[in-house]
Amino acid sequence: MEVGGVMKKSITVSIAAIALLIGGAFSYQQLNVPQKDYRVAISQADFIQFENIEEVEKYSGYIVQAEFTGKRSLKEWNLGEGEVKTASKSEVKIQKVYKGSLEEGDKISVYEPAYFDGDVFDTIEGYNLMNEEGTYVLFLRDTGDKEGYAIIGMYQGKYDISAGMQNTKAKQAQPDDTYRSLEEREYFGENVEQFKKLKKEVLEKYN
Amino acid sequence: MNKKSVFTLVLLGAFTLSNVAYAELRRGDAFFDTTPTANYVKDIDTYINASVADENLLGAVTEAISDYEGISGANINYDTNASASSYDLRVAAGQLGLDYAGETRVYYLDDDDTYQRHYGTEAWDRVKIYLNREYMDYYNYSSANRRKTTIHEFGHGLGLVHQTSNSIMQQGKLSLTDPTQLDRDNLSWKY
Repeated sequence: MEVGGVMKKSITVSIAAIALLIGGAFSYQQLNVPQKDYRVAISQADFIQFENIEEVEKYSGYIVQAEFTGKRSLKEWNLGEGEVKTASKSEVKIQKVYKGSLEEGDKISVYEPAYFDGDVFDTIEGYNLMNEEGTYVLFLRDTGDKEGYAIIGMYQGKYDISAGMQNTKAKQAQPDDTYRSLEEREYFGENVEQFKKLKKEVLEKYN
Repeated sequence: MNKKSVFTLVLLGAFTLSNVAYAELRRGDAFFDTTPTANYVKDIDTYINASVADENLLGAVTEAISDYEGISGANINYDTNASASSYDLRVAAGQLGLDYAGETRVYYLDDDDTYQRHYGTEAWDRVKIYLNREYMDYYNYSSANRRKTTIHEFGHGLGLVHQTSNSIMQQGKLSLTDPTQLDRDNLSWKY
């Protein structure tokens, strides 16, 4: 082999090694960047607290099993004079249909009563957003704008029945809690025992 | 253990359970950790969006204001001449695809004079109340039910927390149309 060829090969190997080192260092840095945390602001609301899952079913036009696709945007209702009410508009893919005129494989939008805004997680009554790892039983109704579906009773109409969530993860948030300390909870409002009772009934019936 | 001791224990147990199930929150327990100041509630600059009348809820809002101003032991007053850009309390209504009848949101004023969402321990500088006519219609709320929700949200605006009995601060579709004696006592103690 000629000297020039050896040189070229050495340079190529060196460049590749440097690229690997830089890439590896970059990946390591990416993995170790702490994820952003959020302060949690909880709104108070007035709504019907259901005694059992039959009551939730009664008001549901649709009952489905679904997964969150990862597609989420903000939904804003214009209340006039500059006042806007915000929520999350989340896309879910239907896996099973228990009630209503939806079909397996359909992708629909669901309005969730929580959203991220800057460094704040803004939630009504401790509702937590769906995530891509979950498998959800959703109790839904039509809305006036026909673009998305409302979740019956907010936290009372969304249950994660995936393997890791068979033991209900819920607790009431405290003032010093941040989102990181709550994000694995399905619900962190003040009606934890009621939520657990409803979830137990859902697991017995829809699991 | 003699019969008298057993009877006393049973009676004590029953009394304790009834208190747990129907505990009425009084005085400081009936309020959030941080609340409006007495100075704030004696002159609440209030802006009522046109949407409230559009959704036929102006009567309920007027009644809520009258109810709280009428509590003789408390100095609570709403000045409804505030503007849409400068107010302590704003009430709006709409057809929201979210499943609640009413919502109360609290804000504090930060060092840059910007209103930020309240997390639990900051000052109580501004309140927004949203009334959801879509929910009220879906669940067949009567006029009394709509008034109850409106008065309930105004109660949050004064710092009251949820109660489980004998209070306008109970959650749900109820026909109470006035703050109860418990609510009046708590507000009179506070303000």
